[in-house]
Amino acid sequence: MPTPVTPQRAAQLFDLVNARICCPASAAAPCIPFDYPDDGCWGRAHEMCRLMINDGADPAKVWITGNLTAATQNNPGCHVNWGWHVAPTLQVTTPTGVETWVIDPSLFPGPVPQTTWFGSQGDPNAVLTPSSAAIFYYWGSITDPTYAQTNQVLATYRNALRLRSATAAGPPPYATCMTSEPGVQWRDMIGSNQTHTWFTWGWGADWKVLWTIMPLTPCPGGAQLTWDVRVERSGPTDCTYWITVTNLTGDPVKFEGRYDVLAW
Amino acid sequence: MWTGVQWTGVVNPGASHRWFTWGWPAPWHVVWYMMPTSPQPGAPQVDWNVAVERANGSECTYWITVMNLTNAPVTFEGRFAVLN
Repeated sequence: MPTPVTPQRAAQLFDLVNARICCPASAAAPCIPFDYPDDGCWGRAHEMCRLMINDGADPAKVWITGNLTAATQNNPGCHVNWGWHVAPTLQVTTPTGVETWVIDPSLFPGPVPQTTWFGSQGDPNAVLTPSSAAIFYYWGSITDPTYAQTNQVLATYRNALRLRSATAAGPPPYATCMTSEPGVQWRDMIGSNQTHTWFTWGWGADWKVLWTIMPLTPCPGGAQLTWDVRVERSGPTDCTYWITVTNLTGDPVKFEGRYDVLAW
Repeated sequence: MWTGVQWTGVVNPGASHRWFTWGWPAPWHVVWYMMPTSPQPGAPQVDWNVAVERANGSECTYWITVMNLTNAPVTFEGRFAVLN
């Protein structure tokens, strides 16, 4: 039985692997294509286990088989269908005892109890099977001690992510899969190293409004977007904001333009 | 809204320096502003700009560049306000 860890250590290990998420359009090795959830989970899981073991952890894996459907913002159809799926697990000490938690950045923003992970995949009759971290592919108990097969799987799905990002839909996430949020005026995409100006009109001139920009497309490693705000007094009571966004990266970036009204 | 001081820094005369601060929840609407703590009346002391990186699905990193507009070192507070 793997040595239990604290929830804090589980979160640290999650962050360790999640920091490897691919910038979708370039998807350069050694990134892990968490943002291509459609396929390749066995490669992601094996690479995650490698990273966690190198960090002194003792992960295992859980395999799920069934008629699986998971919601995601990283597929243009807003969901993925799987016949099976796999992710690393950790034994975590909780106030109610030791639990199995799953590390799966393709589905969750942090470690989750195995029951939560199971419940998110849409099949109450699905079957869970644990294995050691050494099992690369469950059927046949195939191992991959040199990580050659792992790297091949990761390369395949990095390419798939690049290809999807080059379509008209652009890189993930996909706006049609996202709920509308208060304080979000618009969502759009800006091309690599581009500067573009958007305007939004009909704002009360006596409102005190601040504008911020938030990238939606993850790309760890450096600043992605900067912005500049100008304003036009378009009438006695109205104004128009002109917001110029600059993409500092070589990858297209989806983003949202946010506003906050500080006073009326 | 709530506010805070994330860091204190110093920028040499005429220089600019960039800081980053990571692990901010991406759903938060955060604005950044600088306040000099070394008085020097007569003219603006610092200017700044903000860039942002989406580090993962749930968190972001802010990159804040502060420019010293004077001919003396300026110490300052890097302040934030969470608007939502």
